[in-house]
Amino acid sequence: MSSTPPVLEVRGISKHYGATVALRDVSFVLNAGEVCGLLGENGAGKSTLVKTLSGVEVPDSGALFLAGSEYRPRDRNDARRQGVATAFQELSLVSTLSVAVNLFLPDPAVNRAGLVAMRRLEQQAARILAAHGVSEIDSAALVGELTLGQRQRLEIVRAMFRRPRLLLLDEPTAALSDRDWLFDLVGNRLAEGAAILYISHKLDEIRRLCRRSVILRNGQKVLDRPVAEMSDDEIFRSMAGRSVVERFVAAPSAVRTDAQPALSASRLSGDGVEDISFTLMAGEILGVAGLEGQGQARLFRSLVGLYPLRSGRIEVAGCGRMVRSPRAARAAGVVLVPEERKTEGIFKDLTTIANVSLPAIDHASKLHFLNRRRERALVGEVIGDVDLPEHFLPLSIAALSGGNQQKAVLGRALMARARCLLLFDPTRGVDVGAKQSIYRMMRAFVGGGGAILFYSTELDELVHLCDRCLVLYGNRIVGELQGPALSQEQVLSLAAGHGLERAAVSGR
Amino acid sequence: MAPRDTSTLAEPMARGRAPRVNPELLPAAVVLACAVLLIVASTLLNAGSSFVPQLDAVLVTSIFLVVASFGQGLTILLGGIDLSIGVVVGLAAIMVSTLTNGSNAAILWVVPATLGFAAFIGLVNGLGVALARVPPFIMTLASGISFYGVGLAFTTGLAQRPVAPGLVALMNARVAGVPIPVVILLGFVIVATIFQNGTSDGRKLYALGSSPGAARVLGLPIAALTILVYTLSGLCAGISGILLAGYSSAATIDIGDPLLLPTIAAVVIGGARVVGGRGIYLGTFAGALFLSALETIITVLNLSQGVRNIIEGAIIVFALLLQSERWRVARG
Repeated sequence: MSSTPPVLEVRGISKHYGATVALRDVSFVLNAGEVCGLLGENGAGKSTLVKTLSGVEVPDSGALFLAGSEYRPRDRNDARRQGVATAFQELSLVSTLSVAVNLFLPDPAVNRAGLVAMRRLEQQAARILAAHGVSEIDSAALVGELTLGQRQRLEIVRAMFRRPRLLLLDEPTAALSDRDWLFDLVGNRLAEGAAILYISHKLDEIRRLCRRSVILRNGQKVLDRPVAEMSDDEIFRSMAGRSVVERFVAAPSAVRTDAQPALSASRLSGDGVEDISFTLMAGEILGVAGLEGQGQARLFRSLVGLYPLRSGRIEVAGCGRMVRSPRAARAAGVVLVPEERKTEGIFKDLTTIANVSLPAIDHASKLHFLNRRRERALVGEVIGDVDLPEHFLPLSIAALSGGNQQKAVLGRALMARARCLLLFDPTRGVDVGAKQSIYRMMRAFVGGGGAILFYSTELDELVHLCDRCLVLYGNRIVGELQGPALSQEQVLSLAAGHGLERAAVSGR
Repeated sequence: MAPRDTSTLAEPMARGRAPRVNPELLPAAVVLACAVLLIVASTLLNAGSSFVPQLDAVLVTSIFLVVASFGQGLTILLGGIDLSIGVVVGLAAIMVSTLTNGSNAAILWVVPATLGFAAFIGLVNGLGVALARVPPFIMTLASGISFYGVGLAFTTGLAQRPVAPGLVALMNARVAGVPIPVVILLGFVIVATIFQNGTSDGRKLYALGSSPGAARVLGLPIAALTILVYTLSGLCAGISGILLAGYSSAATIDIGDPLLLPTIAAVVIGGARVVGGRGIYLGTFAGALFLSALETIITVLNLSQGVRNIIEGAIIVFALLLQSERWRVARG
């Protein structure tokens, strides 16, 4: 028995991109029936490692072994044929094709005429989805019509349903609010003897699922130990190479009750937004919690005029008119930091400095002619507030890690002289260091009299950062928590719809 | 462990990548060098000619393409395209010749009127694309066909009229030994480059072309920018048509048709991304010059029109292949 080779052995692999080293002499093993965590900040080499294992990239040196024999995937399909499946963080789905076709890509079953039998494919897909506990996704729907969370579920099911020997999950909960669903599936695969490499920023998930964890920093393995032996602080220190003393800085509330509300919404209704009213005070961080798809995305978009409402009023301090477009919202000082950073947050072909300066570009020019020195000075005023290092400014923003991209997007919101920020899950896919910077920036922003409406999929963020927290369920506000009542348990219970049942029972 | 700046540690990919010069200058420079080589080659092939007159000749004949492809480049920067350019060039040329009818005095009002009409066609395109959300290739193709019909209705049965001699003289005159069209061309390239890369409007165009979704969330004036670009494209085609009328001293309504595809080719060869967001005008200029030099050498070699088309097509495919390879590397 002891001679059974491990499912995966990684032996001294290195990978360079030009002059930069993405992986340096990384080795570890993964056994059957084991989940191993893979931790590291953005840019530490996690994604490169995943790409190497899933056949997207070929390592420069070193070797991979799958159940004892050498494993050299030519491409993703070859890797999958050999029993290695991956749920990518960047979701590798084709948005113009249906759920069913995506599920079976790249080789959907064909009939004798060589055509894809769509009806049968959809029935098969529906069966597979149901077997994985996904009932709310229609197998005939186009992937482009799904929410980000649904797409992530689909990506995960696609990786799992072929029963791979080795399963790679890259940030599988980044857009997922129902994590237990995933944890159950992971448990099932383990019971069947699969080996799983679980990549996440979220320490609580690693602690819950993994006995062992590998930590990468700067392309090198710095640690490979049982998770239980390490304290949170020790893990963060290994990832960041420094001590993160406390994750949340306790700060006194900055709410200014004497001023007029920064933003007030009354009886907003539309498709997917039901009768929502709230007031956001100056100096306040107002949280919004909810499981995925409870109307939060539409609520945020409707507040800047990106999503049409049927009725209701939105009043912004110092602005008499109703905000009907992002342009009008920006003029009134309301800026949305959207969910999809890649397509709606950053301007991918522009340099970082051009990304940040864009809202103030007219101030940085005279008679429309750009004054680059003035642009630089204006940007210099805000990058300190978001901890964006100066030497990133001339780089293309696409070359930056997710965390630094998000800092640039937040810097741009400051550049636009926002008085009211609508942050939609700003720390998603962001490393620990950048999260701290974002928290600090939020504190400083409300400390200066700004107001923040803050949606997050991470409950601990809501609990620690917010003055109050609204909980959404079924497109409505089902509760408002503050003070000692604002706890993860309370938020979860309301978000799962339990508050509603109780209210219904007591009302009877 | 010594405390270190983790933000730099966390980004091995970004280190040592700060570009000192615009990386898009490279394809532009390569294409420009190829164009110069072609001119040298055509000088050598054409016994009795020397480099400078040959260069002048290529520059003068390239001006129509150079000017018209600026507009094309802007629409492609926004992820669109302008298929009405050929028609607008032809309409502008015939309008100038018909209305001046050989009289220099008429130039003063005919040229502004022609430019206004060309810009108007562009404006119609812009309104259709930005407000009615018609896909650019359909909008510009449809408006091109429609306006061509209007032009045909007005000119059918009319005898061909001569272009004002002043325009003809302008296209053939020299200052300090340099042909006036070359002076116009250089001036145009400088102004266009400053507009695209040195103004806040140019910056917004790059932003919009790069990420339309982010532009929408940020509240950039998307409709205004789109309308501006198509109007400018119409205007450039109008300038090109007027110059072409002066150069050929007589105009037909379809004189601009052979110019449409080369405007797209010039933009692509110059290194712009076909789906928008990337590309500089110097690249487009180099591409236009290259195509003109290629045409010269094909003429010198006495090759047939068919061979010419094959060579041009092959070069466009080659340019696209180079592009995809380059971006794969750049994105890492």
